[in-house]
Amino acid sequence: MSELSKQRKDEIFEGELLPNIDALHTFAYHLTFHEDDAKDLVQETFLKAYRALDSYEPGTNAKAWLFKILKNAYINQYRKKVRRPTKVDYEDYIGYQDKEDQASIDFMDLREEIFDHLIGDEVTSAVNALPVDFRAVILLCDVEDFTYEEISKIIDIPIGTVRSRLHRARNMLKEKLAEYARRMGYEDKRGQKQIKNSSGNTTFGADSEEE
Amino acid sequence: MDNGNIDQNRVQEKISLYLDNALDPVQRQEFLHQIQSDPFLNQAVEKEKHFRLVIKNNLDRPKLEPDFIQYIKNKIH
Repeated sequence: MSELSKQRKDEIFEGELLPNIDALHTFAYHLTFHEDDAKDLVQETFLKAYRALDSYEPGTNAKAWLFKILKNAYINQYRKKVRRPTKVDYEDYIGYQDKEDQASIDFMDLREEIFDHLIGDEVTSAVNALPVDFRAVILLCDVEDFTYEEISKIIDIPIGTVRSRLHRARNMLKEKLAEYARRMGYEDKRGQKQIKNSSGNTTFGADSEEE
Repeated sequence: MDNGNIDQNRVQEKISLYLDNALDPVQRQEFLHQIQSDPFLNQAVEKEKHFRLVIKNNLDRPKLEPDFIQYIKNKIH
């Protein structure tokens, strides 16, 4: 591949790389849980990307390319810092499988509006509580809309693993959010169609007038 | 887990593949027909869509300072 001029590099940097900065920052923040670390990771990603621009084909998938660089930088540096446990213990996880499969079924039974009562903090806490390998696929697929194939390339795992990991990650997330909703009193009464709010008062769903 | 639960899990997996655009065109078309003819399946798909929207719209996205881009550019040049 031919070497790009500085002017061309700057054009690509401005036009194709920089527009992804917010998405990269969100991903970095939810990997590191630390604002400064996230910014360092984003900065490192852009520096590495700029230096490697000769190997990038303009007009292709800059976003996926940048996310892969960021993921590699995270593995190389930030996983070494033990701010929070980040590695999934798959032996422990095997015992979790039945529980999370049940979460999928519980979720099917929950009324949709229960999740409307969740606010950003609860959603963010639930996502951040996932083991990092599961959190990453949720962030890449459900937040950034990457395809299975792109995710497979970004985190270097087979497409089948992306699919199964996503399924499990979503079930874990549903279980956490459903638990939270129940704890706050947003119970699914189905026949009664009533929802208790966090202060214990009973309110009625929009469809309560049907009864 | 009983067979009903296993079936429900399979349905949930299929819904995920559908919403993730990971079904091939034939499978997608077949699944679309199933959704149209099965109100319970349709409801399950809508619920999954709603769940994903809740995640996407509520996840905390900390803002970068306006001068951060310039800071990176200065580091590069």
